[in-house]
This record gives sequence, structure tokens and C-alpha cells, in this order.
Amino acid sequence: MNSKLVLTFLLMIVIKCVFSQNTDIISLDTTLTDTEISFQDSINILNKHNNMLIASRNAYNDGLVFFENSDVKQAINSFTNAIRIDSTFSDAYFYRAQCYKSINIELAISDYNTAYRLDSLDFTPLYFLAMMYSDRNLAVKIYEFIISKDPKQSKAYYEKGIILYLNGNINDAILFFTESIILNNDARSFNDRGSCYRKLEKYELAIEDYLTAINLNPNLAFIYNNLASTYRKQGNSENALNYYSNAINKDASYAVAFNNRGSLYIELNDFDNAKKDIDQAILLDNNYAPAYNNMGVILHQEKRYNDALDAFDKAILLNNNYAKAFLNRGITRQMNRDEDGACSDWDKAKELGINIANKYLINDCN
Amino acid sequence: MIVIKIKQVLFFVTLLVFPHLLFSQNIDFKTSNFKKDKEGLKIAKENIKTADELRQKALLMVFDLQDANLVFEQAIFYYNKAQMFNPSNAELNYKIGSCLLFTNRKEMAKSYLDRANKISDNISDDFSFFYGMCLQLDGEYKKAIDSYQYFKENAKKKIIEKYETLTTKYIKECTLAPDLLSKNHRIWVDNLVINSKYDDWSPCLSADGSLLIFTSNRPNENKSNEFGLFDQNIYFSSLEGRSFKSISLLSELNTVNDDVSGGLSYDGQRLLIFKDEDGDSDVYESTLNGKYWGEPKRKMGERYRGGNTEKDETFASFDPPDIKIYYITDGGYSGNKNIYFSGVMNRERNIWGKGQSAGVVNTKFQEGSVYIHPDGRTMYFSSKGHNSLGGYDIFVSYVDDLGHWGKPINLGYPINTPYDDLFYSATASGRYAYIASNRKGGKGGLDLYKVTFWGADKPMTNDFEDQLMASIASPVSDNFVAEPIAIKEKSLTVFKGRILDIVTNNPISAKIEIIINKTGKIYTSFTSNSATGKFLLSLPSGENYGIAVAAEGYLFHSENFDLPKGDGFNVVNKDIELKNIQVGSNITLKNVFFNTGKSDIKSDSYAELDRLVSLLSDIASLRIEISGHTDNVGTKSFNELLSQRRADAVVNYLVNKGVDRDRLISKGYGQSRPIHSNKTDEGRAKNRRTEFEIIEN
Repeated sequence: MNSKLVLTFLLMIVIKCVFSQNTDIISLDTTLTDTEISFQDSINILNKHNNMLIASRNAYNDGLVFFENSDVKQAINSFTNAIRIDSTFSDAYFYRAQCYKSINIELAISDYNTAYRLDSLDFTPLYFLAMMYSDRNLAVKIYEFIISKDPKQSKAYYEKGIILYLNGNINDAILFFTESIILNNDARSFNDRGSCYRKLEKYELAIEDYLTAINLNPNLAFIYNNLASTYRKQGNSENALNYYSNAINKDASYAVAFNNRGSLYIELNDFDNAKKDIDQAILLDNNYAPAYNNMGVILHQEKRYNDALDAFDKAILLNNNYAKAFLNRGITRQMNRDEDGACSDWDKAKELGINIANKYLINDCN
Repeated sequence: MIVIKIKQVLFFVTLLVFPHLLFSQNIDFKTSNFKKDKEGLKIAKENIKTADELRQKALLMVFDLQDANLVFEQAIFYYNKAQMFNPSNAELNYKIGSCLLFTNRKEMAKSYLDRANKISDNISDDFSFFYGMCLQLDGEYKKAIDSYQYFKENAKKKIIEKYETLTTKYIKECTLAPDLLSKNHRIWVDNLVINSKYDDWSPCLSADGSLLIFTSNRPNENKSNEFGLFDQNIYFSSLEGRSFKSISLLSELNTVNDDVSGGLSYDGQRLLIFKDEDGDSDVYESTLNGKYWGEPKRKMGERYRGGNTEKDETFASFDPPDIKIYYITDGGYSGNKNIYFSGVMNRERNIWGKGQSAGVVNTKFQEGSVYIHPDGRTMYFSSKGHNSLGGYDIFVSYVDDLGHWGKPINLGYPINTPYDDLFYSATASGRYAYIASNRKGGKGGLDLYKVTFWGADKPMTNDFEDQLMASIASPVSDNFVAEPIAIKEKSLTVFKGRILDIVTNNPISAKIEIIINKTGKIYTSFTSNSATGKFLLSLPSGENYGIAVAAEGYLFHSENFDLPKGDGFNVVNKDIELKNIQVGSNITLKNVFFNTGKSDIKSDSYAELDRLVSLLSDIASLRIEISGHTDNVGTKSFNELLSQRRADAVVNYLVNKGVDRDRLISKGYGQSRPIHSNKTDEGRAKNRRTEFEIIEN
């Protein structure tokens, strides 16, 4: 799509150079031959077309500015202007789709499709279209279409791998991430394949992939975090602590890593360090529910049951389907002699899929 | 003015330096101290004399390792009269304090002994023995040992000898206590709201924990005795939510004398109590007949036979197969209160085997209560012996495969304290139990306490998240949830339900036998409640059982069922419907309805009629008459016609459901067969009815 624009633009420049003499003072001249008049008219048309393209481009650029400033309405107006002037303007369709995405899905789908139709060498609109579908099967079909058109599209393999992972089809996901890695030796693909191995509890392979990912891009904090958690699952707390710390060093605002390291300190009964980390996680993101849950765990451990309840309350307020927080709050409520409250929390935790809650219900609430 | 000021200063200095001169002076019971009230002095001295005799008698019982609570209370009754007259006598305070130590008001003892000590430093030789008991009650074990040692080293030899067994025991208790207390038990012990300032004790719980029967000497409609004490009465309370909140007198069993609950069957249908007859207590059994407890009948054989002796048989417990009774008796070899058991030999003729000692659970000290858990393999009992923390403690013993009870284990703090902790009655799950204790902080005397076992520590689940997919921004929570330390698996299932008439859903009193199919042996047999049809028992899980239900006039019912062995405690509900087959049985179909004056069956009658269809299809030999009845409103001829039409409508319904018309007769009796008075609305409503009678089988 961009190349088309560039070509058009170059053609205009050439024409402008060739006919640079008095092009803007072309006027009615009765002495001109038919051939000359015809030539003059073509020049006029070219000029007119040139002005249209400029106007269209200006409208498009305005649209981008509005889009960046999150003024979706104005952005849509500008992109629509651009399209009105140049109905083949693929990029304008694409960005208008981006604007519609949050307010009118159907229009967005239509614009993504048009954008791709106008420039079928560029699969970007299709990737966005796929991501927009809540039906993962539709998304997979799009990725398969892209692969059929261009088998070297590593991104299509990668994105399909993610959907397979989300669908729980981990082994197939690994195949697609591997294909993506073959086409594009990318840190993210290694990270994601590592996560698949982790899911399959093949921790050594997961660690290998995470380490490769870090070698390819040593600045991605989340990969260190994933690696740390994998070591943690292996029971290697020392490496886990180191890599959580690496993640924090790479990104000091990474609340997740602070929370995770704090949570590991809890498991290691190092409650002082745990508290520091969880405090920091909350400081960085005071809407981060897991940190409040973990704070509740620490406070419960200190037998500060009322404070622990406050923390669990906050976690549940932030995520009212937070099963672990319900489970934990039930335990604290029981210690606080609120047996009805405890049973109600375990009931909720059970409803949210925590089996152990059912055991508590049977034993303590009958 | 100056002189006055000096006098004031001297007064306060005296107060500060020698306060005991002003407030702690020992006032003897002598005429010179009570010149103005010689009569009062005389009466006080008489009271002290009576009390001294009682105290002496009680102490002899204590030296003989007997319980002397009541005698000490009587002594205190007289001492208190003298105390009202003169509260500043060291010896009297010491005596009251020492008596209180052997009652259910132990926690009051120390204040009297402290006052005695404050008033005079020259009290009886055994003061330090009693003060040691107070320190032990307060958990000051080291100081208590010092006090006992001081007594042993300084009292006269004759006195030391009297107290020797007790001193040795108490020192041992204080020595072992810290170890018992150091163990962390995940248990709550809560005072029940139904307690009074009097004795509330001997809790008996049904296996499902819904019914609590207990004994209390709180004021009742009977007269108090000369010591101001009321007789013991039996009360019950039903579970409301998670707690027992209100109580009622179990009036059928209470008399003007002491009536004491002893043990409740696991289904709550039979209660063991003990009654005194000419100074000899025996265990009696009362059965719940519908809503009312029946006349208690002597258990374990006739008087002086089987388990009964000329001594006292008191608190008792059923065992789950209902073959033995465990009970407390002082009629055994030792003469002290011990745990014995007697087995049934012929239930119909009430012939029971001679009582036998329960073995190592018994000591030369007193055993106070016994309870066999619904699992049949666990005995909870209270004893002053073994490694008690002081007073009665509750112990547990497990039976081995040969039927021998194992070495008792102290249940430890907070179930046990240096005070008296006794009785134990638990739910089948073992999670809740009820005990009685005169521990500090209660409402007075013995109180009932609920024991809640937390079970294994429940681990908290901390949370960590990962950004597993690079392109998915929101982190993914780890799905790990901490597994708790395995909760002690109770392989018991509470099996409960109702026996009902298949057509009317009326409750039936039926004899139920539970058979272990693997061995073919009858595990237990019992009768369902006639008023509710309910039954309840606890059965070991992981077995296949047969249940055989028999009731007069009903078809015998038997079936098999599995109680799977699962995690934790289970409750299985099973209602069993019996089929009425007796010729001549006349059953009112209470749930068959018609519109007023009409014969169209209302749709809410179908369920009951369908049950009748089911009975007729199950027992092809049954022929029945469907009869319609009305009240006396309207003319006789109209009522006859209406009732006939209604009976016909029922027959038609049954025929439409596939019942052969030849098996059915319809008859309209109109108002000719009232079953209640037609003078009231209620009576008329009952007279308007549809019945069926089995006329052939």
C-alpha cells in the first residue's frame, strides 16, 4: 500500500519536472493544435489528481494526529475525508478500522477487509482483524489464510501458536512457535515456546528457551520473570530469586516481579523481605490484586487477622472472581471465629474452581 | 491546728507502713471480740462446729481418693454463715478456701486463702498444701511444686502422711504439666450461651450434632434443699444454626429428685440416665416414643444382676453396635469409680453379663465419665489419674483388634486444664464435641463447653503471576493452590433418613436392621421414631450394607447400599417408603383435594394418587375400596352423591393410570362416617376426606 503511494508520488514529480515550464500558467490558447490541447488537458488532470492526493494525504495525516491523541471521532472524520478524496487509500481504511475497533466492530471489520483488499501484499489489516475476533476459530482461519498466501509469514505461525496455547493445545502450539522461530529467530517466540514447555512441566526445555530468548533480547523483563518462576517450579529457589531480581533490575516498575519475589519469600518464610517486596508491588500498582492477596497471607501469618481480612477484602474488591483470595479470606475468617463468613468464602472459592475449598466445606461447614 | 496535722500525718504513715494492723487483723471467735452480740457468736461457733465435722468427713473421703464435692459444699454452707458474722478470721477463711478447692467453685478458693494468709501467718500446717493447689490451678506449676515441697518439709509428720498420696500426685502433675501445655492443639473451646451460674454438665450429643441433652441444677419448679441447692434436672437443646441457644426441660424424665443424663444413643432415640434407689444408683434407659421419652427401665439386667451392683452405676455410654454398655461404677474390685462394661446376653429378657473392667484406662484415682465415639474404636473418658493436669482430665483410648483398650492419651490443653474437665460427647465427624468443666472464667460451677477441632492447618495460598505469552499483556496467574496437610480422614458416615408410608408419607415406627453384607452380620438394629419416622446412625464408610426395614402391616423392605470411603466426613440421607399391605388398613389420602361442592380432582392431588398407583402396581394382589366422605354441611342426599362422585373420580384417575378397575371399589359415605366433630371448622375439614381401605391381599 505504501509502495503504491510512493509510486504515484514519484510519477507526479517526474511529470512536474518534465512539464515544469509554465504549467501553472496554461491558459486557453486558440493557436494550439488538437494534440497540444489534449496534452494540456492531461496536464491539468494530472495537476488536479496531484492536488487530490495531497489533500487526501493531509486529511490522513490529520487523522493520525487525532488518533494519537485518542480523539477517535475526529480521527474517523479525517480518515473518512482521506478516503472520500482517495477511495483507494488503503492506510486510511486501516486506521479508520483501528478507530472503529472500539466503537463499531462491524465497521472496523469492513475497513480492515477493504484495507487488505486494496493492498493484498500487506497482511497487517488481517492480523488486526484476527485479533479482533473473539471467536478464536475465526482468527485461526485468518492466520491459515495468511500462511496460504505467504508461507514465510512468521507472525502468522506465532499468532496461531498463541491461540493454540490459549485453547490448551500446547503440543500444537509448540510446533507453530517452532515454525515461527525457524522463520524469525525472535526472543518472543522463544519465550512463548518456553512457556508451552513450562505448561507441560518440561522445565528444562522451558529454561533453555527462556535463556535463548534472553540472549536474543536481554532487555525484556518479563522473560526473566518467567524464567524465575520456572526455576521456582523446579524447586530452585536460589535461581528463582536471582532471576526475579534480574527482572526487577531490568524494569524497576515491574510490579509483577516484585509481587512474585515477595510471594517466593513467603514460601521461604522470609516474611520481612516478602513484606518489603509486596509493599513495593502495591506502591507500583495499587490496583494489583495478587499483591493484596499476598499481603493478606503475610498478615495472616503474623496473626494480624483483621489486617489480613482488610487485604483480602481489597484483593476481592479489585477482582471479584479472585478464587485464591476467597479461599484465603475464608481461612482467616475461620481463625477470627467468623465461621459463617468462612463457609461463605469457601463456597465462592469452590464455585470458582478451587477443589480444596470443597474439602473445607465438607469438613468444617456441615 | 498544728497538733491535728501531726496526728493526721501519723495516721497516714501508720496506714502506709502497717496496713495490716488496720485492715488485716485476725479476729477470733471469742466473747471479748463480740461483747455486743454473744448470741450471734454462739450461732457462728455452732455453724463452724457443724462445718468442721463435714469438712473432716469430706477430707477423709479425699484422702480415700473419693469425690467429696457435695460434702464440702455442705461444709461451706455452714462456714459461710459464720463468715457473714466475722469475715476477719484467718482460720475460717482458710477452711472455706480449702473446701472450695474440692468443689466446682475452685477458682474462688485462692481469694480466701490469700485473705487468711494476709490476716495471720500462723495458719494450719496444711495451708501450704492447699495454697499449692491454688497455684496449680493458676498454672503456676513451679511455685505450686515449691508450696507442696514446703508442706512436705515443714508440716507435722502425721499430717504429711495423710496427704502423701495427693502431694506426690500433685507434684507429678505440676512436673508433667509444662510438657502437656507445650503441645499446640488446634482447638477452640467455647463456653455455651445456655450455661447458668449453677452446674451445667453431662452433655450428651446425637451423632449428627443436632440434639444436646444435659443436666443442670439451676433453679427449677422443685424446692431447693436445706443448703439452697436445687435438684438435678435433665434439659435438652436443639441446634439452631451453628449453636445451641435455648433449652427446654426434658419433663417426662425429671422428678423431684436428682435426674442425671448419662449417655445418648447416636440416633438420639434412647437416653441412659441414672437413678438412685435406696442409696444405690443404677443405669436406666428411656426411649423416645414419638415426641415423648418413655418410662426409664433399668439397663444391664435386674437390680444387683448383670452390670448392676449394690454400689453406684452412673454415667454410661452405648457402643455403636449396641451390644455393650460402658459405665462408671464404684462397685468394681477397687471400690473407686472405674470404667466397666457389660454385654447383652438376652435383650428381650434384659439379661446382661457381669461388669468387667475396661482395663488400663482405670486408675486408683477416680474415673468420672465415659463415652464411646460412634466409630466404636475410640473411648473418651475423664480421670483424675494418668497424667492429669490437675483434677479430672479428659483422655482418649483406642481399642486394638483384640478388644483391649490402649494406653490413655491426655487430650491436652485447651480441652484439659488444672481444673476439672470431664465428659465428652462428639459428633460422628469428630469435629465437634461437648465437655463440662469448672475451669476459670466460666459462668459458675460446671459449665458446658463446645470443643471445635480445627483439623489440620489450612495453608494460605500466595499468588504469583507470569507473562507467559509475550504478546498477551495481562499476566497469567499461576494455578497452584496450596494443598493442606491431609485432614484426618474420618471413615464414618452419618446415615440418616425417615421411614414413611409410600402413599401418605406419614412417618412409621419401623424396626431397622443394618447388615454388613461382606460378613452377613447384623451391625446394629434400632427403631425409627414413631412421630417423625426419623432414624440416624453412624456407620463405618467403605462398606456395602444391607438395610432391612420391618413394620407391622407393611411390606418388608430391604435393599443394599454402599457408603463409599471418601475424604472427610459424609452424611447420607435416605428416606425409605414402606408399602401398606394389611387387609383392613384404612388410610386417609390427606393430599387429595376437590373444589368445594365439586368432584373434579385438583391437580395438586396427583402426587399422592400417583403414589397409590405405584403401590397398586407393585403389589398386584391388592384390592382396595376408595371411599368419599363429607362434613354435615348440605343435605344428606347431596353429600352422599358428592362423596360417591368424588370416590368415582379417584377410581377413574387410577384406572386411567393403568390400574385394573376390578381391583377398585368406589363408595360414597356422605356424612355418615365423621372422624371428628362437625361443630368446628377444623373438625369439618377433617371429615371431608378421601380414604382407601385394603380389602384384599
